Amino acid sequence: MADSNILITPEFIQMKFEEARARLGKHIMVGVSYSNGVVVGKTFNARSNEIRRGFWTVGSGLGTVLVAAIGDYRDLIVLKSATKTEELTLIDWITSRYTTCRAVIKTVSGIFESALGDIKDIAADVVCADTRENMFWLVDMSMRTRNFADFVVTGAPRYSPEIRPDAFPKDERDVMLGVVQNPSPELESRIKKRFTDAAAYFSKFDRPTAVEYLKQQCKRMPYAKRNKELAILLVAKTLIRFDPPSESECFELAFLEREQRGDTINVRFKTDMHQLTPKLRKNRQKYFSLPADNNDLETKQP
Amino acid sequence: MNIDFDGIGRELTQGISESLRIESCVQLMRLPPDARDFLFPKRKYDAKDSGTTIAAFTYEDGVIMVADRQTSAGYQISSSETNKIVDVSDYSIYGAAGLVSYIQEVVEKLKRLLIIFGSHIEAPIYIDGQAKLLERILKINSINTIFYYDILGFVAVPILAGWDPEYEIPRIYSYDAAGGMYDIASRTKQYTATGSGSDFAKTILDDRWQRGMSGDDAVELAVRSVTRAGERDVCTSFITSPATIRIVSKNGLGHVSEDEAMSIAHKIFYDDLRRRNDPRAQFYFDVESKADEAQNDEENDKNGGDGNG
Repeated sequence: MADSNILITPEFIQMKFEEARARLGKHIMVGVSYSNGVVVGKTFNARSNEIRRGFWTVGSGLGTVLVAAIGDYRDLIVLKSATKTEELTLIDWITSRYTTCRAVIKTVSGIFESALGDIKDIAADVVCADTRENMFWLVDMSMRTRNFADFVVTGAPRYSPEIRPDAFPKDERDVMLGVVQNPSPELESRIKKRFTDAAAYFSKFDRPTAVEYLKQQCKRMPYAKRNKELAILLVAKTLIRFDPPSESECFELAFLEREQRGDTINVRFKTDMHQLTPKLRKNRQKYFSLPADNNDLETKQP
Repeated sequence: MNIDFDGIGRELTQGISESLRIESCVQLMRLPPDARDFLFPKRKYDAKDSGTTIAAFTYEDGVIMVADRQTSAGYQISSSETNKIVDVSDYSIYGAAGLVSYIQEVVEKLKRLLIIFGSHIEAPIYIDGQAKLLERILKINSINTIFYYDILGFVAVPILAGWDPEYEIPRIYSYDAAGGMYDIASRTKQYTATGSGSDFAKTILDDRWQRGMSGDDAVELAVRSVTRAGERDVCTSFITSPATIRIVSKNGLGHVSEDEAMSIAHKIFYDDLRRRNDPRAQFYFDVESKADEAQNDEENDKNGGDGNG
């Protein structure tokens, strides 16, 4: 920030945050911990993405830290590079076994801070987890660092629904498209009510609602009883319910798991792809668009 | 990372500017080889140049480190009460042969860097991380101060021993003067020694060390190795000073009392005399019988006193 030639004002910072938030996209990232590790998942589009672009590990052995980031491609590269440099520094001085979430988070936070004075901002949310604590560390674009037990939800803060005018009745559609300039009061109030209902309906897709959902689920399936399958199920369910439809309708899940083989403890990092079925894909399309389909998504799951 | 590594490097080489060091090296290189060798004879410092004996080895519960108590200054004994083993953390200890000032500097630097890195990663750094850090300190010093430190005899040949509570294994790392690191506990012979008496101590360990030996046997072997070194090495204290014995196990740091170390050393010495049928044995004290006699006398006096009263 000290080397910057830009006059940094509160308005400038606000503008940068807003721009970064816009670049972050519409998708969310969900992580759930279980007794031997953590699972983090987010949407994956093969056309504009590559496997493990948003997931990588830093450190080795028990000091393996899973870094999961959601955001702009260029920013993920910057963050990956910075965290890998951090790893090299630790290898040089105290071995990579001592890579911790706290150290990685400090590095990431430093990158966000230095980007504040640059023209370009960093549009990404970063989640770190290791198998020592089974706790998530989150740094968002505003450089706030928080840690969460059980689960984490980050990414787009609010879902903006897709409007499908063709699914509305013709009179309403004409008003929406501007074909009819002066609708009757009765029609106008009907459209207003429809949008009010829709707003209420889509408030269900807020990040806080997803957090509330996971809170309830984690109460039912407490940490000690959660295994890998349950954790995957929780992540998948949350993404299906709260992550808006994408072109690919495919989710990439990353695992960091601790395995005990005899006397040795190994930490394993793996990513998996989960493609949604055409039926679920169709259901999600309806569920996440206007006019709202109020039926519960889970009842429509194949 | 927010740690000022340049600062650490500067601190390690404080007092010696880069230009001065280079200039001195250039001047030295300009001298004819004979004159250069005469003025600055090549010093190959290693563990044997330093007057001490420190040994470390594994036993069933962890690691044990033993050191003699003598500090030498040329042909004089400057102290017979020096503690040469320093606690680095709750699970690690450090002992080194070399120049005392430099040994102290290195261990202080190690402790400082442990605080710096510990606060960065916000987690404890166990023995392997400490060993790596120590290696870096020795190497940086070796590279940056090679010329002056070599002339002044600045050398430290440390042993770092400890317990890894995460993996629950004992660890011993030994070093050479240039910072080369050797992981001893991963070898078949899990023992090492440093200092001028190290060869004698190593011979005893070669003879008697066993994998998974009991705590009592380990303490006896520790005292024996230093006692034997003290018998032959002029710079290692003999049975007149108790050996310093530190233990690291899963319960953390422990120590063996001076009385116990002393009595074991004297027993070893007395057994030697008896085994060799040495006539001096009858003039020398018998540790056990003298102790028993003293106790009996004390009890008799006490009983007699009570009776008279």
